[in-house]
Amino acid sequence: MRWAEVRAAYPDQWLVIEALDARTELGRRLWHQIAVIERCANGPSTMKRYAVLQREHPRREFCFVHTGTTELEIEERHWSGIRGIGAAHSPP
Amino acid sequence: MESVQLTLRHDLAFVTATLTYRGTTVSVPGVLVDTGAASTVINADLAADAGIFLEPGDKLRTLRGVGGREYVFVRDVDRLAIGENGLDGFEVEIGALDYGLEIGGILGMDFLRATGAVVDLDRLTIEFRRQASPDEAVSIRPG
Repeated sequence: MRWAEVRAAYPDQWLVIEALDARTELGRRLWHQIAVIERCANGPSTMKRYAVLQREHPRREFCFVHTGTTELEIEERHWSGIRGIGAAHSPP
Repeated sequence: MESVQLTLRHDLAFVTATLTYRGTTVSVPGVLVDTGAASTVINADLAADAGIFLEPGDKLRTLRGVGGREYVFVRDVDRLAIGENGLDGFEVEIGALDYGLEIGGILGMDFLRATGAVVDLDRLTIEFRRQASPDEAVSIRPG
């Protein structure tokens, strides 16, 4: 689904979403195709579910979001060192 | 110049920070001093103690590095400090920080540069040469 379709299908809700197709352009992470993974009760519980899912599936890309958000504006920053939930859990 | 003790764990340097948000001050132990991080992140569980929770409309960011990426949200806090040294009106990222080791936060280059941090890995101390204004902190923040 596109973000506009997610918003229409799940109005005013907290979601864990997965990027089926996402790309980085000019320092922004653009989500082109989105799967809705879970509905959650509030912001903190959405973050917790996000962290659990990301740890269990380190190669997939999840995010927490509220569908009140008109546009998915996500800035991307580069870090060195180990980053990424599950990075230290996964086998080398 | 106040000198603050660093603690070594897994050969990494940690410090305790204090975070003030809407008048509430909490201690944030286990903050990694990390010149490999552009920005400063606080563990969501500890941020919650100060009343910082993910809300609709919070700005999202993704931190990309070796081993993957993490999504965080962004919030301006009243103050982030190490001992007496800190920054008012500082922007922090809030994340799950689930890296397989106990971590309260990451003190990144935005904070370290703006406070003029001097890390002494022989004596295991950190000192701060200046108290930057929030405007200065903003101006050195990377793109």
